[in-house]
Amino acid sequence: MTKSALVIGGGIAGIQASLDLADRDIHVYLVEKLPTIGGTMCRLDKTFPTNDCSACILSPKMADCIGHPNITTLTFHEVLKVEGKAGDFSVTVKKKARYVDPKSCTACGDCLSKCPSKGIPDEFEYGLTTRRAIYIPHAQAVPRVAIIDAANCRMIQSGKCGVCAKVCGKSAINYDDKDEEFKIEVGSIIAAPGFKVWNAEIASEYGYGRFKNVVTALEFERMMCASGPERGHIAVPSSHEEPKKIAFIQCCGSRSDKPGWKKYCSSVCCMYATKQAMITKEHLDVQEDIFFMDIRSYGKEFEAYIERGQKEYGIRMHRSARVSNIEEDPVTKKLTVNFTNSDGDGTSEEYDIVVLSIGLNPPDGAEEFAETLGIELNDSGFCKTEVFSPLNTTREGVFVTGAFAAPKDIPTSVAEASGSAGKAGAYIVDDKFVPCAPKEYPPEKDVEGKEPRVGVWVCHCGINIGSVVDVPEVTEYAKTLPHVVLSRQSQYACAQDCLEEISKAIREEDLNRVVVASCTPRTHEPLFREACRNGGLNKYLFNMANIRDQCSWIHMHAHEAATEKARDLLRMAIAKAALLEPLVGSEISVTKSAAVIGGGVTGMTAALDIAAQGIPVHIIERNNELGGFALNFNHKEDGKDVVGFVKELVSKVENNKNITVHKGVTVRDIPGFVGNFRVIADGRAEIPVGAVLFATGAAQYNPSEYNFGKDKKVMTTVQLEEALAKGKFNGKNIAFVQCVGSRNSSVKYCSRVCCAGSLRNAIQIKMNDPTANVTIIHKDIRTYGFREELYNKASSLGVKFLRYCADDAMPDFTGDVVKAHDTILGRDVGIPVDTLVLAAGISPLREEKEELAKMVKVPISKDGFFFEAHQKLRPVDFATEGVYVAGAAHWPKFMDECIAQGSGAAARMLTIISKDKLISEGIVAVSNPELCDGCGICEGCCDYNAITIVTAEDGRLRSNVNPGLCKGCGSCVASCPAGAMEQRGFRNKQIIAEIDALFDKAGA
Amino acid sequence: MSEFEPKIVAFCCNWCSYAGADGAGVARLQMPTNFRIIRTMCSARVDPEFILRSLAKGADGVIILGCHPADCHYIGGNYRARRRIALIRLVLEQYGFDPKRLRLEWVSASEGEKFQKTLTDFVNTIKELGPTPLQQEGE
Amino acid sequence: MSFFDRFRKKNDAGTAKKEVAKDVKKDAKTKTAPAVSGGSCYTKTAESISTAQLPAADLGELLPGAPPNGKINLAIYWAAACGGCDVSLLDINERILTVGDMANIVMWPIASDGKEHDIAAMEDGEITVSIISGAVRNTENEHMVKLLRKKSKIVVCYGACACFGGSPALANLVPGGKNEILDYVYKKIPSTANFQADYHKNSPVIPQTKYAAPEGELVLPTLYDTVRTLDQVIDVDYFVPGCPPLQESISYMLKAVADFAYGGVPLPPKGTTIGVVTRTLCEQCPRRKEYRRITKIVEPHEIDVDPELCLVDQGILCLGPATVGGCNARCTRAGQPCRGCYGPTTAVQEQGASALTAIASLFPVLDEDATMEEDKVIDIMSTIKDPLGYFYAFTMGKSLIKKSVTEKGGK
Repeated sequence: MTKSALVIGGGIAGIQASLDLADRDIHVYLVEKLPTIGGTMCRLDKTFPTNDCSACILSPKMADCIGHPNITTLTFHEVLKVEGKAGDFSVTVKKKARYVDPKSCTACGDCLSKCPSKGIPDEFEYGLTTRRAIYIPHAQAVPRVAIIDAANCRMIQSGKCGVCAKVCGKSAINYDDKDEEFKIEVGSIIAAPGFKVWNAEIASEYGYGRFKNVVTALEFERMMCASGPERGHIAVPSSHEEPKKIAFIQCCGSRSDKPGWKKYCSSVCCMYATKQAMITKEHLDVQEDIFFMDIRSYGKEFEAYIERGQKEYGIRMHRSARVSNIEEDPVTKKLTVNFTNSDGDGTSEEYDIVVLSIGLNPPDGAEEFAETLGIELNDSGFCKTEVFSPLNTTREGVFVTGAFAAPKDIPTSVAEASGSAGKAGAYIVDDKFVPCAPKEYPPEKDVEGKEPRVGVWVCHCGINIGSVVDVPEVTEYAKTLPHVVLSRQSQYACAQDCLEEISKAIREEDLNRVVVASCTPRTHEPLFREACRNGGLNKYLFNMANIRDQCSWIHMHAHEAATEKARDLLRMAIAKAALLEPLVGSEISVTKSAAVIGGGVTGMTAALDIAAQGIPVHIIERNNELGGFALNFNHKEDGKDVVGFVKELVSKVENNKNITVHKGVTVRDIPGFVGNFRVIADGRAEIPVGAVLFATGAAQYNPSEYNFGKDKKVMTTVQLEEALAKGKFNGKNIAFVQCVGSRNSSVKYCSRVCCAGSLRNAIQIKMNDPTANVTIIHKDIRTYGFREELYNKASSLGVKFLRYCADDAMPDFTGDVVKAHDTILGRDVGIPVDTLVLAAGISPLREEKEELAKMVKVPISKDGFFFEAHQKLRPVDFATEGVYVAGAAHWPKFMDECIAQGSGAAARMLTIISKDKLISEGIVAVSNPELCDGCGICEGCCDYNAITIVTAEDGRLRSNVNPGLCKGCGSCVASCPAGAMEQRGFRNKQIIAEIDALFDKAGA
Repeated sequence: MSEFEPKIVAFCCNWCSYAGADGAGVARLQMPTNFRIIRTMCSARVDPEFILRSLAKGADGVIILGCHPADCHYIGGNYRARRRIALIRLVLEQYGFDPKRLRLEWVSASEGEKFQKTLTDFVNTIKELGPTPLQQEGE
Repeated sequence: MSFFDRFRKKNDAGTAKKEVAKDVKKDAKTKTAPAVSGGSCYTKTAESISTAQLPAADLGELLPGAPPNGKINLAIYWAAACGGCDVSLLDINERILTVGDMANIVMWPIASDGKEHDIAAMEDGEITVSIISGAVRNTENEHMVKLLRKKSKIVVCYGACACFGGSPALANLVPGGKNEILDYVYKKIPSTANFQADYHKNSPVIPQTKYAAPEGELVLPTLYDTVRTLDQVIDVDYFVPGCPPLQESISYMLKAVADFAYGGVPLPPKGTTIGVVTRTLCEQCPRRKEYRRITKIVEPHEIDVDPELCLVDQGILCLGPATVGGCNARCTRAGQPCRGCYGPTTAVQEQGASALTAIASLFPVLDEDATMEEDKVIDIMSTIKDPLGYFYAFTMGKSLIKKSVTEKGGK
């Protein structure tokens, strides 16, 4: 029998891993020990660097997860025991007593208001507010059902109460509920238990816990959040007044060897603190100061984000400013922050609120968890992994993803989650594998010829819409419009209860159209469409009015006009909805094979992961050998030999029967569409594939600075590594200049890898020759995560660090002496050198990328790297279906990150190429043969060659659209002079109905 | 008399400018309330008839927002839109409309701010032009 | 500046721009349509052409004598029309005898007597059919069509002007309305300008609509600022488009009326457009299509027109793809592009906008499009001179925006 997969942890990483496995038709158990999935991400207000609303982008994934037919979501469950071996695990799971039957509970909240056991700190809000003994974890909890906290329940503890059972209209309360244990059989396990934040009380010098106005970053996140206890109104905790000055203190609990502190860098705090400062500034006129050692904005678009914070938002950045302590004025409760200023002098400043940017620690109970799973932890207490196998734990068949392996941000976690799903899938998919059957929906009701019956839901989105738009008024207004039979308001239309309400109303009120006025269809349409399908309504009979992103959020101070606009938008949406028709997608056959463009470490990793599931892969490499840029790494990282690893990888690839390698081949074109691409390359027969991965990497920046190439003293990191490896290096006075070709006016981004690169070479030089003088001249040292160890080691070996200004001016080099302005000493210093090492950045190979981009119509970011579909939650996908990106082609990154991302892309590709067929979108152009005369004007308007002019049965010419090739842009529709071409879902009459509804206020 | 509040129809392509409009929302960029967005998959879906209809119904201005040149999600849709709109603008000029009442702009998904500026500027332009001449004649 | 001055200036500007556009074409690397021409699916077969034609209605044997219930009353009236429609009614050859047998012609200003007071004296509904051509342009037109409507069972909206406004409705584009037109016609065009200079130097004369003669007040019809289609003024039962309608179209109208008068066969549903097919003229046009893209618009006299090839393919602005069939492509068969007198298909409201977008879509996307300045795009599109006049030659009265506007300027 086909085994399931087990994913432990229902945060974003666990959710993504589950979805990828499930979309590959593998059944998944998702075990979460808390009563709701969503992890830390669902507690965040916004996410960097896009400032996307966290809940908005996560909610659809949570709903997808709970609604996915192939995922069994077990919340409030724990894994007790793992027996057996890879491919054949037997796992004992404990279902913890919830005391409320989740199937009966409607989350009406009646019990919550009656429960007499009050004042219990609310864990979800980090104790900022209280809850009762029976509670719903939070507004967007999934599943959104109540739970009893047994330790605080009077009935369970003493048998004297029972109020909740009395008020529950659904008899959902069961005080006799017991923990239960059961066994599940799984082929592989993914551990995604996430992280815990550092306990800020350890930093007694900052007064957390003693001073009321010192808060942790996560508490502050809840304070900022529109769905938090303060409804997004940031107030000084002691006085509830608006703050005038806020300080953010970085590296709280990180990068220190003080007792109880962590040596590593927590990777995400610089960015989240800047984000919090920016968002706060949007709410309030406030002075904000961030105190930090180095700013670590190494990720995609991060550098620009920090710059925006500084320049546009006026956030004051204090570099190299470790805060020594904080004092509280006992009367005003204001906080004095003592720090070292840019002149090196001790100084102080007073603030209303201090936010501690606390670091990331291993999750609670990590040791027991590791013991249960039979895996090892590293020195820092995180899951132990290796550079060359970043997703593997020490036990075969058990994989790790997310922050449990190291502190990391959301996109990295998401890419890794996909990667671990790919790896885990390989232990389940074999010759006997039986894919899950597709989800059964209720039969779709026949709406043909029926009078439209529109159901309307207007969303408050917490206060996001409700605080600006008069939602009750708009809801009532909708009732006056033609075809509307029902109009309701909802706190969160995207929450599970409302989605179920929609499905139910379709059945019970015989709705045949549904309109939701809430946020943007770009993120939430799929969710509501699914609710329609669950109610037996064709998903294309749904329409949305965007009254949040394009109304309440952009007209926050114009309540009346925004309400008027919301009415208009809703009226337009309803007018269009009344004319919508049920659409059915057509089936597209899938070529079950993949193309990987680029034979570096990323590409080879992806190819091996796909091949491991028995699917043929073609690697197309431009050069005459596989290996890519990694062949330049002579250094033995983690004591491991990179070049040796690459060679091993190459031999695995070349000996894999499922992989065909095409070397020295340049791709000329990739026509086709998802499931049916053809890779056209020089001198090769066309290669039909179902999905394509761009793993084309990047290149080293070729320096023009410092007389490079002419002066023998000047070399790049790669050249130094080669010299070191060959034992040819004998420099005595060595200086590294960081950020050559990065972080300047022409290349604005940080190349991410150069700091660590210089450090490990500096360490090597010092280890070879402790008398060598090594200086690293830098802007910030960006050894995030466990790489901080390199920084510490280099410092302890006597490597000197000199910080130069973070502006454009590079240190001068006379040929023998490097001169730079030491910002710490506050004066220019000259360093005599015999070797000047240029930490040359990563260059995107823009031209090559542009060529490929054109072939499959994908975008390039302004920095010249491929631009993924969504920076946060779709890090390896492109908007063009069936095409993916991974590795340095996406952004500069370390080898372990490339490997994880390569695996991630492979897993995403498997969700397509493991299937026999896909169902195409319904929104395509279609030619009406009754009206078409074959004039052919449309044909030339199609860039996808989806239109052909054919001879119809009556011998006349007609335009014909191939729905598999049609992308649904509608260009041909607007060109048709006879009105014969129409776009489904965007018919002329439907758009005209919107225009007319806008101006004809009285309605139809 | 209260200030003239123009009625503006904005056609946004799904991929760039509609996302840019969302981006403006996510970034809470404040702007005038005078416009209503109609989403199409591509700027090339905007049939000139939609523009004429909007004006005929009383719109004071129509703006079409698409992907930047070379950025079209559908390769060349924005170029086609540009040709059609250039021609319809010539027609509107012949009718006697100030061609500034019809605008075509490029806003990418990441350009929330450009969306804000473009729309704010367009609203101001229309305010300067005054109400649509079609309504003034009492048609 | 008057409308007419503006128009002349536009033309000059257009010529200048055209030369720029030629340069564009020279270095433009045109993206060619997919290389499929010559494939069998692109060749029209002989049968397809013949079956696509609209044959005239089979009127059967000549039916001598009056209908069993006596002759019906028939009125034919021209509003703002050139008279071509009236003449076209004679295109039915010997069948005109049927008309004579079938009907008393109670009014036909171009051909017979019958005065307004005769009509006014009739009972409501006494006229069986009124065939009205021409747009409604002045008070007399309006009065007469309303009167005929009142007295008629059936009103047929006949010809492009009645159906869509036709050429008269192009007058709607003069922003100054009737005053500007009268001013221009009586003072500015060379013949009248000279006349005024010679005889009325100090006070140019424009005909007045009222004159108090000794015998009483004489009244001339007053022009309207906006020319309207017939159905914008009165309720209309059937439409017969065309400038003028062709014999095939008329035959269907005649058959419907004759079948009704002689055999009591029910008339077609109200609102029917008589004498058209569902698809466009392209389907009736025998020219070969190569599905070319075009880089500029040419007039037929500027090139050697290939007699076999689709006119659009040759860069000639032909409205065939945007015009409903029924005329059997008379013009394109004769080497002239279609001007759209039959109006759009049922799926299209605005023939002008549909033709415009189609023609704009024929201009190929060029390699330099990514870096092209907006001005250049306008230059390319400006090869179409007078787009409003071209695309709305017959349908201004039915367009979404029916007349020119004048910006008043803001605050």
